[in-house]
Amino acid sequence: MWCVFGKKVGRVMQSFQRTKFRFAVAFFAGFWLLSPRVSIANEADEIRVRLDEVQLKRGSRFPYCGIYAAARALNLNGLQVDPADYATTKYVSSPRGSSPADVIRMIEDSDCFATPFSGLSKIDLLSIADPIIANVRVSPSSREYSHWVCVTYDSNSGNLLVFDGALEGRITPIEEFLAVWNGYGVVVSSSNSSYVWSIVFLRLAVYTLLLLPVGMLIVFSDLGNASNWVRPFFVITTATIGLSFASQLFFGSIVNFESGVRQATLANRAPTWREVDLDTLIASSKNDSVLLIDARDERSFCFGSIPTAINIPFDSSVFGLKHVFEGIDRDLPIVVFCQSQSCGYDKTLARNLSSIGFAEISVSGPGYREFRKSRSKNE
Amino acid sequence: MRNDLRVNKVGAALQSLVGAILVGSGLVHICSPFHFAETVSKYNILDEFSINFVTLFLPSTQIVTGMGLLVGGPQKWFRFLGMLIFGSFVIAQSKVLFSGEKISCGCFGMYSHEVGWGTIWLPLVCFLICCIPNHYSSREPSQSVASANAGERSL
Repeated sequence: MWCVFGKKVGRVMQSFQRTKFRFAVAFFAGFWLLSPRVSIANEADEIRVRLDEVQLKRGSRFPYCGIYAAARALNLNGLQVDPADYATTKYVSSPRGSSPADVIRMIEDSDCFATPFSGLSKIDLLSIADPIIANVRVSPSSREYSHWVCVTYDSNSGNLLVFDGALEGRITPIEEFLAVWNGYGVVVSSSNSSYVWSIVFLRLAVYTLLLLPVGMLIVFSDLGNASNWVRPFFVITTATIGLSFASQLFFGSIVNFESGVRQATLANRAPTWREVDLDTLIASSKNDSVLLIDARDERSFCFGSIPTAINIPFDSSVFGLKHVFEGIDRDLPIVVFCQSQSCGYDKTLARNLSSIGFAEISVSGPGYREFRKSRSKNE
Repeated sequence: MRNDLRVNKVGAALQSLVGAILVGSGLVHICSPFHFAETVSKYNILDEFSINFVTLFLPSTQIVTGMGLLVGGPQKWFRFLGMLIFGSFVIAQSKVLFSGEKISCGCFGMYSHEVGWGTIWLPLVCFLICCIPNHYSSREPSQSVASANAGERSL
């Protein structure tokens, strides 16, 4: 058996020595190495959405989101730094990206001050003047808090200015940000100004403001001597409802509360898209009024896709998606597909698109592989 | 009489402890309402509308109940509310435990442990504390304390 195996290996080695075979290997290796450049060059003359999608790729996704967010925070403090200078294992310690310690190290190595906090809330975002590097979910459909963005409060609009990767700052409603944030943040300041005591005092003041009326209502309503259930019921209900709405002024949003909850719970809700078959996918590829989206990563996309499709990778952040689809009608019919029947990237992206308001989303069961087979049969 | 007094003091101390737990947990939830909504939705028990309702009103109900247990007032009402709150926590965690899901408890905010036997005991004990004093205070508390004081004076 070993003898037969040895002969086969010998034959392969002989064929490798042939010039044509070596040329073919070199060609494919070169194509593989240059493929990202080929992708961008091809995309450059495509429609605007595809150009924006190239912008989306620059740092808005892990593993470099940490250094991009830290660099942006440093820039906002007046230091001109290039994130590319920090793309080392010292600051990006794992393939999943930067840890909180990496982000803090990068800030401190750049002669700025980093103060980490957990359990931050809306009032802290509004009261802290310096930029904050916040730990968020990459999108509402994700369950892990694995993404870094830089955030500051924009007092002109009353909203937050969120910097995601290399993208320009984007005005984001507070409840949308709170829905994907876990309350962890690193405050970056150029001076040694400590926010610890100001945050503690502010929190104590708000707690007193909220809890004192409740306590006084319970004590002074003399519920212990109530002869029936009406008075206790009325007092407890009033205190609960009053506290619920008053607390939203400081920690949530009264007007957009439902929208914030919808975003926050998206990952655990039932899907809202339609599933379509191969015929519909082929028909959509010929229909200009339907936006066809390939949810695979950029490398797979540049090796071939349905001709009219654009590439939005499934792990694009929600802030990046909003940037790409700015000004695009939310009733636009969209068909999302990925590699094959068993691929799940399309459902992840469909969930994210649904979270930014698209209503007419379809997910194709068959993917690019089935499309290619059907096309080769017809040819 | 002395035993009654001791039981009342222990009951009051335990109630205060439960009240403090409720206020602490409620404040953590009220500070990050949307994160609390995400935690509630992970349990897969409530529909979308109910999650809105629970997210808005449960933390403040916890705080009002906890403050009621701490500062006094109609104890039976606040104990009953405490029983409802902790009872629902026990039922929700039991459902997760027996269905084999791996989710964060969410009991005290973001950095809570995964639901398991280690997290279910606290609401269970608090539930029992809210139940047991009802038995001892079936008489009017003012009467029992007054009679105990009178007994001590006569001794």
